[in-house]
Amino acid sequence: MTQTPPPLEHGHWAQRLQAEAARADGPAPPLPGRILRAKLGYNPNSSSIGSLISVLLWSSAFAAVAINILQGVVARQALGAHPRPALPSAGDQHSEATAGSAGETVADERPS
Amino acid sequence: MKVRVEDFGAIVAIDDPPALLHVDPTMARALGAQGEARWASPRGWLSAPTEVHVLVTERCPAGCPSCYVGATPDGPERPKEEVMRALQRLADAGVFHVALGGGESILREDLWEIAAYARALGLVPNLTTSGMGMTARVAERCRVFGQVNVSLDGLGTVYQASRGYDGAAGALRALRLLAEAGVSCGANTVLCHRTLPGLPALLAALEKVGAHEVELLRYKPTGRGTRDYEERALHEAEARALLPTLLAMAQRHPSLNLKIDCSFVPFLCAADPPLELLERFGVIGCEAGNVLAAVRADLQATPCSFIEAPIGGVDVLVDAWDSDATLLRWRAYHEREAPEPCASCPYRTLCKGGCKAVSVHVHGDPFHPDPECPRVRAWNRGETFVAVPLTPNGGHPHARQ
Repeated sequence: MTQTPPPLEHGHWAQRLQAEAARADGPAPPLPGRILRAKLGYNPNSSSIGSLISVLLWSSAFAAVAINILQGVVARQALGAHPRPALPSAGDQHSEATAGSAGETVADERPS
Repeated sequence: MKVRVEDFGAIVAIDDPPALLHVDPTMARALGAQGEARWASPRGWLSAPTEVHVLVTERCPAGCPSCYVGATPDGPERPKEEVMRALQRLADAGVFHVALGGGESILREDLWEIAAYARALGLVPNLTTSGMGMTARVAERCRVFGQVNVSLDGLGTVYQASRGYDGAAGALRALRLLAEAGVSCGANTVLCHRTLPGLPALLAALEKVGAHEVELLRYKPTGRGTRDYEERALHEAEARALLPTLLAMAQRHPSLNLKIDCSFVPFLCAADPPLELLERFGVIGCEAGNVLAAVRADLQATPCSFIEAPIGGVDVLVDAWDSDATLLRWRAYHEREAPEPCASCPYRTLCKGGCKAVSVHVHGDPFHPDPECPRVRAWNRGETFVAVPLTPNGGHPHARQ
């Protein structure tokens, strides 16, 4: 008997991201720029680095949706963490050549 | 949320859901990062590891014949103050995650202080354990960790064949206790010729106890694991079929995250998976000395847990990260040194030559192409490599639009 495979986008991370999108209260604040790569989850293995292969079951369309959901998560969390100054609007493009601070920073929420 | 400037923009670490996101400079700036200097003069490697594996002890009574650190019941460990100082240096460098392991880490009574200290530093501590000594109380305390994985290679006789004793029931019990305590948990499973047949039963058991992840680890010939490496390594046919086999299992167990470790990437690539998708979701091969580094129980640093020769103390990972000759060579391998067939492999930039620990054991040279890689095997026989179909019907599941 041939068993019908479950829908391809079902899977722990697909469901988690879909739930994340569903729980969002309205659209995410605009956040310019792109997520280039997403490494999902932790690596509780003290000898080597793990990579999620279930993503190979995702359609290209859902892979793009997943990145968009993560961008929304970052935008919401950033808005909570840095209420001022306001995030630039989506159309506010920065120039790569703009001379800013020469320093490199690690911005985080650790108490000083 | 933590934001760390990198050549390409920044890495953003979030905890809910847990993820490390590479973002471009535009987003990095919007998140408060100031990286113009680095973006103008990229170095070609990360500013620090994203995660460091820290062996907090080499003490363990289990005596597994394949233990890669050769742990013993009275194995050494450093005082907590020294471990904490090492963690402080790693946090200062901008490391995001530390994976604590051993030996059996839970045997350290001060493990909880060490983990709490890591949290206070802004590091996310994760844990590998055999599950030995896990109680409801210990499971509750494990909530300090981002995730806990229990070593579990199979059920019953499979576990016995892998580790020399049957600890499967204890490991499953530990996972159930962790899940009941609300701790994100999964299994670390050494996938070798002995354990592969038991994988379907193991995945079913993991789902039942509430684990949400299984990370499959290739058998590596280090520590006591050198003794029966030839017998335990996956056979070529098993290695070639690995990805389609695992994807079929992933479809049958959708609640489980199926992960492979970095050393399995050459096998994964035998099915010609889409490189862009692998890169987009952070599938990585040998990133020793770049994405990851390791700290042994004597607090000496190595590029990877399976490489025994240290490069110095933890300070090397911080103060000499951009200048240490060993680290620089490991990072540059795929660009400068890779011999054929790696040099012309389409997955070279991802795989980076396969597992260097295996190459050290077989060839005495970490920079020799991974001898178990299906492409390397075909090359050595003078054959043209032919990729295996990704699914039983020969199609690529991701191609469905």
